[in-house]
Amino acid sequence: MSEMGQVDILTEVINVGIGEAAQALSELVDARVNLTVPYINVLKAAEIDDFVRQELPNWSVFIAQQFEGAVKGNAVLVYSEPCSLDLLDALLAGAPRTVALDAAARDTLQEIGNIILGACISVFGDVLDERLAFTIPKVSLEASKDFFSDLTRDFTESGVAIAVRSEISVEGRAIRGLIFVLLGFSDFEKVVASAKKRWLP
Amino acid sequence: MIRFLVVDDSEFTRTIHRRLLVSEGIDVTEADCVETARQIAATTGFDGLLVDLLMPDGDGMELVHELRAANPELKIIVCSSDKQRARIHQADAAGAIFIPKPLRADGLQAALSETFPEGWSDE
Repeated sequence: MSEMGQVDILTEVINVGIGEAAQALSELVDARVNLTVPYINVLKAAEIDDFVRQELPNWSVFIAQQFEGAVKGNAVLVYSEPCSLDLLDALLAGAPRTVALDAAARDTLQEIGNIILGACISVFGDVLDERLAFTIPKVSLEASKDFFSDLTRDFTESGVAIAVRSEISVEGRAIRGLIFVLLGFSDFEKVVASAKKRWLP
Repeated sequence: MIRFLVVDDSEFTRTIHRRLLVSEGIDVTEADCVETARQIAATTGFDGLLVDLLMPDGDGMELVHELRAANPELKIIVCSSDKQRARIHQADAAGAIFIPKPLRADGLQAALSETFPEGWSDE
């Protein structure tokens, strides 16, 4: 057997997590959710913002959740403002349409982030067979120049981070978001080693 | 010996699936994408298909429909991380069994028992 690539293994782990997130979102909006294959990049911590911003020309709502335990990292759900409003409209079917991201809307987005990101990140706990602690997601309507590298500051001891990007969209609606998962390099290796140990027969 | 075509873009997952199937006495051919699977299936006969859904060059359900049309007796297992109800219904409507990733020995054995009620191993 050839040596399997670590990125391939992490892609499969993240795939399971994104599948959980998609199922959670699908049940929230009662519609099918479409996914893309996760795209993984190994980056210097300082390059993360540039990498993410290439993907985000018109995105303005950032929902970030930190996880900590056997591994430590951040997951970020990103939408444009119109997509956020459409998402709220889909969730609150029958209620008057949300027209602005006021405190109540941000509170709902925080809960959406909690459900979707929590579902996605939980796969790491399953693979590592350890419970991870999650922070309450933080909703930001703008991201500073160093927003993403700030999120990785605590866990890029090697100066290297893993950025995973996947797209998640709701069928029949113009709702399209991006999920980023940011991990330090040593934790990436830990997840991969554990997936090999637990999943390979 | 029963022959399966395993289709998944991840080498890691193909390795899991191959090891589990081989341990059940099943012969395995692998394809890393939908197109390669089409080419292999055009020239080789299989008893079963174990296929992923989300692949870079297409959706595994396309393959399910194509190979089912070519061979109505083909036993099909869909193994995916996308376990939304709509996806499970799609597989079910195509006469396939759905198993969420990661595939485990007991999940595979249950699916094989359902698809091959007379047994699947020569041993």
